Amino acid sequence: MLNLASITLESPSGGAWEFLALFVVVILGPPLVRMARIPGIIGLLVGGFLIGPNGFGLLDPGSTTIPDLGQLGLLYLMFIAGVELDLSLLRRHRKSATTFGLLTFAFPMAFGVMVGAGLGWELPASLLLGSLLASHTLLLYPLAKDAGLNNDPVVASVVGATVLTDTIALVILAVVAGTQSGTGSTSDVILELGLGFLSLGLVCFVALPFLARRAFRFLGQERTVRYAIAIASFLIAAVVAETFGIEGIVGAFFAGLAMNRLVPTEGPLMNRIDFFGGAVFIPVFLVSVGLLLKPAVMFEGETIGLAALLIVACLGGKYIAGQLTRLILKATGPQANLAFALSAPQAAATLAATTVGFNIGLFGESVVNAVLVLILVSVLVATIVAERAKSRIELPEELTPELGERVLVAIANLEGAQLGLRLARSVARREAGKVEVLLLAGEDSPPRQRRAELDRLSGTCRRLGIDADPLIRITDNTARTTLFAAHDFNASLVLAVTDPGQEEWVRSVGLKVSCPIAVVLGDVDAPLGEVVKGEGPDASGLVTDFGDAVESNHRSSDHATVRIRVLDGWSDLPGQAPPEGTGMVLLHPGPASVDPDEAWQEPTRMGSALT
Amino acid sequence: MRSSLRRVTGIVIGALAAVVLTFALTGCEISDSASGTFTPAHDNVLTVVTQPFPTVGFWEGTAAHPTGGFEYEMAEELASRLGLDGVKVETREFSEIVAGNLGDADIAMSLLTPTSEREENLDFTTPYLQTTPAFLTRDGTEIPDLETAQGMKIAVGRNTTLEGIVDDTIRPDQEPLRFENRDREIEAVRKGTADAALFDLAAAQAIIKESPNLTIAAQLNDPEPIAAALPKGSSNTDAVGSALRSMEADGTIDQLSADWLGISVSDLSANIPLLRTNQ
Repeated sequence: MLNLASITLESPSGGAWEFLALFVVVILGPPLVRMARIPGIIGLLVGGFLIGPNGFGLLDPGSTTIPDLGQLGLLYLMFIAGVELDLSLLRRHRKSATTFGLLTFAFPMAFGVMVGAGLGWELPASLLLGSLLASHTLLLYPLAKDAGLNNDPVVASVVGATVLTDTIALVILAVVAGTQSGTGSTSDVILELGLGFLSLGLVCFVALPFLARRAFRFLGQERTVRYAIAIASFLIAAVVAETFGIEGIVGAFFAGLAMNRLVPTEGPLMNRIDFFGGAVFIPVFLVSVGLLLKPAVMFEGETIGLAALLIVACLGGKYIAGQLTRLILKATGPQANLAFALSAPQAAATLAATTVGFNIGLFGESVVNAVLVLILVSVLVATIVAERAKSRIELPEELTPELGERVLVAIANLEGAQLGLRLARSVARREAGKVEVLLLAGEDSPPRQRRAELDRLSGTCRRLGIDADPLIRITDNTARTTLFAAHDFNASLVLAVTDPGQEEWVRSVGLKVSCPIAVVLGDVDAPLGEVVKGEGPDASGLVTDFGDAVESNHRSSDHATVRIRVLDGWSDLPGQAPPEGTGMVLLHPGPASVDPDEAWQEPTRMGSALT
Repeated sequence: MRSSLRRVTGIVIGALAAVVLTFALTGCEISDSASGTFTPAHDNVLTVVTQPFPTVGFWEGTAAHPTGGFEYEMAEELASRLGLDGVKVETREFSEIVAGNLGDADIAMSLLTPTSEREENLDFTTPYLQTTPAFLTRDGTEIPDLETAQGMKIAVGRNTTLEGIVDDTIRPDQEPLRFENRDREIEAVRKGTADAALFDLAAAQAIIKESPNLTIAAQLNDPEPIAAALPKGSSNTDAVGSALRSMEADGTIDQLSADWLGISVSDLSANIPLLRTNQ
């Protein structure tokens, strides 16, 4: 008979138990608080508190597993903050983004320093407080984007300004933390920091993109390796930063900015970075911050008073900067309110700076808990303001995208795929754009052959360092399929890779598609070399733009020659192959220049257009 | 344009007024230090309680005339960072300290590991050391596996967390020798009354620095934090914790470890064989 009394049950502890507690919080925390219309980030912070020593004490008091992992999560968070920023918006709205960036940094910074000084805090603590209030996180940008306002000049300026505010805030953090934790004289520390920033700049903006590009091309055949290269990039930057006494998060953020062009926003690699960040690393960091949360401290008069000061200083400063857009950017009232709402939420950089301030002993528990209150209030207030403002703003006119923003490569001739992909890579790289690859297969092609061709194409993409997962479309109408894909992808340029003499389907696409289109001819299996721009009128500047982008990646004159010329009209198609070993690109600016006499014709059927 | 300017000016003035008003309402209650405020029990000195002297490498000399040591020097540095004039040292038995009986001391520093049980009587700061349990033996004694350790006569400090590790993890064949006094525990190993004694690795490093005929034969893979303790509910915990974190960040703790334990904090467990306990 089974003797139950002889069974000894151990109370759960150790790594598996701690990870279980962590993932229960990650799974349940965000959806539970979202039911009360509170952002998910708060659920993770509160969940961290509940499982921590100040809550139910499910973790061993001395355990460092989650805090240590949280440190990695913090680096990951700052890397994502840098790599996700839309640098093309900063480029387009450089002036207004810089102006707004300075304003939305300066006011909360000034108010924060005033609060610190008024309380009698030491200067480094006051400066750090000011800088953490001055940064912001674009938590509500998806809300504006979903409302179709991502091209609104004020919204775009706020997005661009984030690069500036977070960079300045992290530089201040680095200087404060460096002087606090450095052991030499102040001048030695400043010299060390100066050298550190110089080295970090060289590593992040010169060496890292160079090495990453080559690593993607030569080692990045596997998706996991490409992801590991991205992770290694921010760890390298963090190590370099720490070597010079600069906080690792500054290095991670800079690495994110440096890798921004190599990791297209909607590409597969970015999806993977987002996925693992959202599922594991960032929640772990937020839960580890929640461990510091102490209700006994949070609801003390001191903490509440401090939180009130921080809220007024931060939101007051951000509100002033938002309202100043009326004067500077000629914004309407709702636009100014949306600028405030987008720049008010405090999360990533604020938490990062607070955690560092705590770790170096500059901030105590009261400050950490007051900042957590600020984060909660800033997110709630900003969400309410954004919801009200977004519906009162007129939708902006659709902007003409840059040529390389979203390049669709439609491949009807697999032998010419290399040339098409190399051209797409060159054009997209300039705008940090995304490349979508579409293999057009006839419905009569055997499934095994289709699979083999898709595998071959995927291999070529990875070998060329293109961050794309090629798709296959089985079709009996190449033109219509390409056209739908171009609309679906919102392409800024279509590269139609086809056989000489089979370009007719491209003509059908060109008559309907809303962006420039290029016919790519030639089986080139070598890096691109000399670019020969065809003579003749180039009113749209398309040949110049395209040619310049290709030339910027020019390797050597003994590589494949590519001839580029503009098509006068669709009747101008050559119908013959370029000389062996060379490529030809025939550019058409799109429907605006279509001869009205050229009517839409039912696209040609699939068939010999496919190899 | 002019009305917009007027409106923005109004907002700026309004925000400034709000900051000042919030200050007036709350500022008077808020600490004048971002890292927390420390109020000493005795006139401008830090009163520290530890177990009876000496604790080799951690507290040297006597309570009346301490001459140095890792934790003593840390206490001095702590006092300096808290803006105090110096350190006053008191001693109590270890079992009294972990029971929360600190007398009139501000803090306790005595190689204390935070546990749920101890947290009922004490408030702990963030840890300043992470250390594994380690076997102190005479030179030439090897502990290659758990079975060897189980066959040994083991000495351990009474009421320490190490006592639980001996009873629950090592489970020796013979009843372990339990000591209140660390010196007697070391003496037991030296004289052969015990084959090995279980100490925190940091303490063991300090002991072998002073006693060349002793060695560290093995360590367990079960790191434990060492932290300072304050009376339960003390308002000084935040300030002491902040000062300790700043000492860790600027390398002070690492330097003191190198000076007094003969090895930096990050290298504490290097080159010590690991004893696997999960069979």
